[in-house]
Amino acid sequence: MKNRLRLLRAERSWSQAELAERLGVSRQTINAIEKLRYDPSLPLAFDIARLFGLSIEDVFEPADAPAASQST
Amino acid sequence: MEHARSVTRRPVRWLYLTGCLTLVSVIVVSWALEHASLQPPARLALALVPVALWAGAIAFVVLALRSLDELQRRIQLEALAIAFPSAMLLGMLVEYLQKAGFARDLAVGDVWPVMFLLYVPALLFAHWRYR
Repeated sequence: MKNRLRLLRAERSWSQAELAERLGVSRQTINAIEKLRYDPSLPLAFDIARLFGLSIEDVFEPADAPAASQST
Repeated sequence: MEHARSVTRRPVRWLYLTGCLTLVSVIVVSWALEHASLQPPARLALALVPVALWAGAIAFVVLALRSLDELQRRIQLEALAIAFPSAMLLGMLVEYLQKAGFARDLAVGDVWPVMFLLYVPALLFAHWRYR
């Protein structure tokens, strides 16, 4: 599953540790999600989307989605 | 955010501390039971010290798991999924070696402590996967 987490975090100038603190998870979890090594659970995905004021589809998309849509 | 909670390492540290104390107590108690001349009640009390510590460690395992986030839980699960069957494999190896007439001095039960040794590299490997 692809995601825009790194981009969204950078837009807010948050560090991984700061985002992790806001979500109540470890920094390693944020790093693994950003590097696409770990797909978060649905509750955590909802929390992430809610934190950025977006829907889940705006943050995450299927791995087979066209690459162009990732940067939108 | 309902499920979000602060990540605390305190129960994990208590778990490591209790685990280390248990290992030390196993060594000390084993030595004392073998070498010291103690009355039966004292021997019984001494023999139960590692058991009590290990029971405490189990409680900290539960607390530590509850304090972890979802990725850390997965990492722990993957580490155990490697260490536990690997220890069983070693046990099977010892058993069949004995059936074949080798490794007579070893017991299958001797293999279980190795699981803790296997858990460390398994944990490092699982952490590396999600680095």
